[in-house]
Amino acid sequence: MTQETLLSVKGLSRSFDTQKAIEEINFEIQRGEVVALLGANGAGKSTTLNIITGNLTPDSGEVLICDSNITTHPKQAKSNLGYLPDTPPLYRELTVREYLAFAARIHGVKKQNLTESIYHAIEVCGLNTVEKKLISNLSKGFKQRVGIAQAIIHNPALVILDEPTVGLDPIQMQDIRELLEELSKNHSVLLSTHLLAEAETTCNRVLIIDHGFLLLDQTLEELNQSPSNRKETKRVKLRFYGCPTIDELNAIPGCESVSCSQYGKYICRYSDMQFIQQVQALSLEKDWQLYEMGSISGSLEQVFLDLVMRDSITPPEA
Amino acid sequence: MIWSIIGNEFKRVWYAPIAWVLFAIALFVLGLLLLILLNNFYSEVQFKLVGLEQAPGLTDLVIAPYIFWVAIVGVLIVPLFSVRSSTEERYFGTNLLLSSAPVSATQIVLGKYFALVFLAFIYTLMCSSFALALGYFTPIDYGKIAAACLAAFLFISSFNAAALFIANLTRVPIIATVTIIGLLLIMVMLYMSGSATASSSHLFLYLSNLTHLMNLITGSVDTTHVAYFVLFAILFLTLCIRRLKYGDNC
Repeated sequence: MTQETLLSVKGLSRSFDTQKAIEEINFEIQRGEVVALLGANGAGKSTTLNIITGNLTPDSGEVLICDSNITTHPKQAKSNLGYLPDTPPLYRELTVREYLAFAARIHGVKKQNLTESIYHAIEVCGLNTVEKKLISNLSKGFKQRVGIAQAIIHNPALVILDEPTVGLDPIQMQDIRELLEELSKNHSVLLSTHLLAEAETTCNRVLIIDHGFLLLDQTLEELNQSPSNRKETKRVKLRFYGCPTIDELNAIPGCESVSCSQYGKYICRYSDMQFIQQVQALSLEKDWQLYEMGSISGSLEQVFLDLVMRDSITPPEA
Repeated sequence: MIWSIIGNEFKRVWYAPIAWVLFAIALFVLGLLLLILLNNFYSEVQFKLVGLEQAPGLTDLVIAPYIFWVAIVGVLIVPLFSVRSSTEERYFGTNLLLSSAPVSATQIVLGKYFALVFLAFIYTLMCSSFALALGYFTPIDYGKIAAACLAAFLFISSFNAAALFIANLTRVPIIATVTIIGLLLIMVMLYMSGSATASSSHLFLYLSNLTHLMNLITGSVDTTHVAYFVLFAILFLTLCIRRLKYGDNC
């Protein structure tokens, strides 16, 4: 089966004054894919999305949406795109139905299809009960749903969502995740998030961005099969009141590698359970005062921490 | 597409209480002003005109100054809606709805501008209805009134274009508002400086929109003055489109 490329990002770079926000970002999204763009706060996710959606001009590189360049042919490119920014662009003084009608019109939905498009978006996003309410009176979860509804109202091939679950309570988050699963049946989705569980449950491919660089572009399947995620290798998070050095932890039998964040959290990769026992024993013996020990579950979290923390390793004071 | 934007902008203006409050205050103030002008005309001016050949009437001495003030009050309040329509949108991030849609910068600017022009039209119509009501009691020159209303409408509408451009330069509403008032004061300064005996300057007078308002409001519709307002609006709309197209709107 031939694949259809909906989004092609080539050599994207952007600086703000002297600070480089993103550097040489390259990736593609095929029809039917749900892709997570992962990164810590300030990693460059929103800058990337703003460029892809035509709201920011790149210093270099190009973005093609369904083969239309967003800079040179913005109208054609944007007609295939639905976008929910991190703050939903909602007119609070309008009702949900009025707002969606306006969103449909500016996205070029024809007059005869307007009612049907609004009805479909309301159905998919579960807005039936609030369609006549003022947007200002809605809860944050419903506002987010209205934001998603405006992004899909013209049935675009590609939907881009920038942190759609931020600020929601766990029940609202679950609702939005279910909505994302529903969306993925008919649209390709690029989802920016810093919630790894969200990416793991809703996406089939992951992009990891850090300090403006794209560090990883793999499907979840590839990630699970990669050598660094072999079952025999496990990871553990450790925190101490005392400060063992990386060398001391590395020297423990069974330890494969150690990294330490600036906040004093150690991520240790080990292949032998003896390592865990030794850490506990040495903590008592050398007064490291171990107060937190937790296994890192899920291959995505392991990979993310590996990639992102690799750059933030700071050796603790001995 | 432009009609959708005009409709949405216009609807949003009336859905918020600020438009009703501002218009109510403007109508109240202008109603009082008309009363003062009328009172002054009947108690101090009317008897002095008896016996004069081609003496100015109520239209020249009451309605024309009244419409001049309609234009001044209008230019103070109507541009505030451009701040709401553009600066506040950038502040709350709602501009991303339009900028991510397949809509050109020209369509966005013209849509927003014509919504403001329509608002200026309604404002001028509402305020001039006070003056027109005088026609029930005394003969008035409807031609002159139409010319004066056109002057006020053009004055407010053209200044709206400048206000819209300024509103797109910043995302802080108070800065946009102060800058718009600053531009209006510059126009007043140009008029005062240009018409002062010691430093009279045709250039300053031509550049100030007050000069053209005052000329049109007398009732003589001169295309030079109409052209000035049209060019003034086109200049700032072009700048606004360029700002939206090439400026960083994120």
